[in-house]
Amino acid sequence: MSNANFSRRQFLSGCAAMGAAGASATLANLFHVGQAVAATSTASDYKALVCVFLLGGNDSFNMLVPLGAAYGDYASARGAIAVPEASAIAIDSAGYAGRNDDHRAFGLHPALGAGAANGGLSALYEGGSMALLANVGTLLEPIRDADEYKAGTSRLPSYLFAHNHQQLQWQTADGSAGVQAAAGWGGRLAEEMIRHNANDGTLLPELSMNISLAGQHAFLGADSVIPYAMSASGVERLVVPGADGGIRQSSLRRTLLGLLGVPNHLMADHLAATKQRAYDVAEMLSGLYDDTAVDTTRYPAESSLGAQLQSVARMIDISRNTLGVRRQIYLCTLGGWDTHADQTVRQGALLAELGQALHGFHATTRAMGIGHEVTTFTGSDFGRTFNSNGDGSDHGWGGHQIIVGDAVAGGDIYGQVPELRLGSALDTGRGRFIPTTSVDQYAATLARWFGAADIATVMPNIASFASADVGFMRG
Amino acid sequence: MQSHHRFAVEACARPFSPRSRGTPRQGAPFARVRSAAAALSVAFATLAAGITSAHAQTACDSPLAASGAVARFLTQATFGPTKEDICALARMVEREGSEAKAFEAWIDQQLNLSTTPLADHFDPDSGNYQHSLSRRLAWFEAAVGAPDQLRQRLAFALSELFVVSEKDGTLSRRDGQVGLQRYYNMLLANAFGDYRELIERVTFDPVMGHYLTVVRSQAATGPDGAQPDENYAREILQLMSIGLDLLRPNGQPRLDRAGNRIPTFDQDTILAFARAFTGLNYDLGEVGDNPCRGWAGRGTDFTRPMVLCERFHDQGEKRLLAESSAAAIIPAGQGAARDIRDALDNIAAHPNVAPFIARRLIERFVSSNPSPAYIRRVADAFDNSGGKLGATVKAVLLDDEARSERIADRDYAGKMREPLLLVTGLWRAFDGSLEGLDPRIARIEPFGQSPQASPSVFNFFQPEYQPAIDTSTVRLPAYIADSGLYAPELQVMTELATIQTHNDLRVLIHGNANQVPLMLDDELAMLRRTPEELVTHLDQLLLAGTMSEALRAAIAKVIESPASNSDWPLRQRLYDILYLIVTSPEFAVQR
Repeated sequence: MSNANFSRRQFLSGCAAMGAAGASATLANLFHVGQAVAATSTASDYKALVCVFLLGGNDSFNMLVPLGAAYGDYASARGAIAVPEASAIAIDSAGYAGRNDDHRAFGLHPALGAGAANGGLSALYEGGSMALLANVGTLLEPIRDADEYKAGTSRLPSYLFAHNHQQLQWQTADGSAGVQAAAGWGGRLAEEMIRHNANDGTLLPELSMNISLAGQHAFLGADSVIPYAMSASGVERLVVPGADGGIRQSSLRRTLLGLLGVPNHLMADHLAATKQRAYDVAEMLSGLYDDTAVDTTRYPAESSLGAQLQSVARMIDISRNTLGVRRQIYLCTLGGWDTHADQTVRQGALLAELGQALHGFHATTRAMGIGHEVTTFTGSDFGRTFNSNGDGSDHGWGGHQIIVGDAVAGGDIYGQVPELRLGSALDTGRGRFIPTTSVDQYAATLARWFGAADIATVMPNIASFASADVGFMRG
Repeated sequence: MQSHHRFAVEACARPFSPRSRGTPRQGAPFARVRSAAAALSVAFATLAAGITSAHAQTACDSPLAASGAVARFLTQATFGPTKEDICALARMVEREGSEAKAFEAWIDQQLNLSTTPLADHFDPDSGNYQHSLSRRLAWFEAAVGAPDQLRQRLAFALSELFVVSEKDGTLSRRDGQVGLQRYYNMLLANAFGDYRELIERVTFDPVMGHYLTVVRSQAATGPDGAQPDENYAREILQLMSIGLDLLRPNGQPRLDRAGNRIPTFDQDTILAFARAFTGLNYDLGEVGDNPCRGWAGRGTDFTRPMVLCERFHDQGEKRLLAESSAAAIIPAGQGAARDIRDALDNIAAHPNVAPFIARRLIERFVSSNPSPAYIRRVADAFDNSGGKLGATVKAVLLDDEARSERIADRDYAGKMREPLLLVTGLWRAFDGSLEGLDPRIARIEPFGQSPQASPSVFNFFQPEYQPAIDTSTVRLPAYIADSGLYAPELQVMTELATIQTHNDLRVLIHGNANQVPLMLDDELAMLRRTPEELVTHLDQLLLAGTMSEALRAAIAKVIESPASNSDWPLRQRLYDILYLIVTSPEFAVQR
């Protein structure tokens, strides 16, 4: 810990104790401190992981469509929800060590295509900044095939196919059955980085290393990491009645902040602590946030995810350039993926929004000069049944995910696409395919890139799987 | 405090003077509000034992000095105590000779009140968003003003159990909004009735049919062809009836020999229920018309129960929940109507239903961490009444664990106040006006909560949500220590939400300039003459007598501030006192 950092922490705690009366002074000084830190620290050592969680279970078997010889089985299982072969955007999967030559030609859903308003994801894929990880999902140990699954001898995550529990499993992946509240792997990863003193940002007592743009989710929390939940529409400050600087306002502010520190009831105390944190961070950030501009033209219009990612870009800018933070983990979400019905229309719109938002965000990071420093990746409750229910699909298990960034070894498909045929070896019923890569492996690959020294601490069940690195990150 | 004279002229006529319901209003929506309010007045007048009747007000002393137990009970059982209700129930306690008897009499009275449906404020010429606001206004109007408070409160709880939501694209539109309100009225009408009857109405409701996509789910087109939609089958089992684990009658999970929980169903069970629920269609025809009409189209109807199209129903045998005391095997060839009835019988007769529903209702009314014994007693009430929700909620509210002040004093007791109740409580406590509500309705989304607007079928927050609370300094009973402390509502009380909600509550209380929508004449008079009585009064009314010393001291600072009258006028001081209470962490808890 350098002296400069130490004094900064002292300074900021002092400001917090000073309360809002000194808010404007805090902001002014913060800029000053930020400039001083930026001048002395190695700004290049910044990394952010941005998780985009697709709530509801993305039907990724329509995101990555088999072409050629395998298309017939696909079309027959999917019926009315099949993506027409001619409309899929063929991608180069030459590097994919697929099952055999009959099953290694793939296309992306047309909504992810170059025809999209701002270029779309297929261009990122072809340009080497996007990878796909195939058939990843929740596992406690590898399961060879459906026979082994049906024999009931494998350890399984609890409550497969149930939204809430599979979200929890995805976001925690700690090798437990996932019944009780657990630390998220984003939370554990933050703890690991903090333990090795690799994050100056944790010296800011007010701002958590982990930031959610989407409310409370298990992913970002851990015993010693309380994520900060903020809004995509900016940092809102607490408004106290009365004229600014007047006796009424200052007295009320002091009084109501004072109340937050008095123990009362376990739940009330929890709320009070949250509110105090919210107050401190908002006082610290609001001016900075409002003064940070992000190019908004790259994003899809009226998009919740687009707004969240723009907010992430602003926060990264502030954190890196003004606060001197070196590691951050963000969570954004996009809902609506539970497409039991009307899937063709609904999923098409969602994929278009997802593709444009990810593309826009990547362009922003490049413009900020940190295309290599920010890696964005998707997760989702589960994949869906390969078999359709008429005009939709039901809850499944393994599914494909997207990873975007210039540090990604893109333009390839990683993992193993299952044989996309009902009744194939991995089909547990209706095309609920057993994952061939675990969330643990996916997370471990990202954690290693992020700089975690001890992967087994972050992903305690990683030893149950063959590899801790699926290979989609460079270096 | 030297500057009170100035306000003496405005001194209110009489404590607890009823808000004039005939205040002139303008505009079409208000005309409807007025007529609804007039109907309510009639209901008040005809209420024999009159808890909210006019004469209650004359019999009440000012300021409130009733036992906190009365306000506490009303906080659990209604959308927040009004002064009149506190007074009337306190008189019932005197008359009946005990709180227990009076509370039971109050509940019985409530169980016999007729239903106040949500009023139709929809303007057919307005757009989707205005329809949403009209629906929300109608909800608030009933929550704040309807005499059948227990039914209203229970229907709200049921709307969080049998979830449909305007966050669905189709339901966000005009027809959907009207359908959502009709669905809510269905919950209101059936709130005290049979659970089994209710799940049948829910299953046939076209709004649910759309929301959980069971509408037009059809029999498999072949072994590898399209299969029935599993959505509703899964969620009715997981979220609305039996949950994921086999339960003991006290709500605790049953364990196998190895100590593991035992799942209530597997994927085959889901498929069987999904097959039983095939053939439901929107009612797009005339009476007696072809129920298969429009099956392949996109036409919808959110006004009438769904109808059954045999052609698309799966006629095969179905194997349902074996643990149920009703038949688990539905024979082939029964037809859709009988299949669905049998499937719902099979669910309703599962031993999990009583403890599952008991726990869900306790969580909405009284406690996030009920003891197994409490769950058991409520589950027994459910079973012994043949699954009557009215009898069940009565058991929830009258149970020792709900009533005990000793338990309420524990620092994990009760629950976080349901976010919307922060606002309804304020409105009811100070006879807030509906005209005042209308222009503010769009901003009333405390902690993101708005009626029938949860992000998914999993409601706004999940019952199993466990925040990272340090309980190491507190002695917890085994049933909490073993499982951890649950606090579902805290899931939505994030940093962002605490600030937004704080600011929204400020706007609600302080309003714009002098247009504060609350009736505060009594309180202003108290602040002027006997400020110490005001504190006791607000403590009773808003916190059921549990106000902390710290909050008292905070209020005293406002009252005693030497600021001049122009710097801090008396009326502003009163608003600020309310503001401090309503935004305080302790007001966010209902214990």
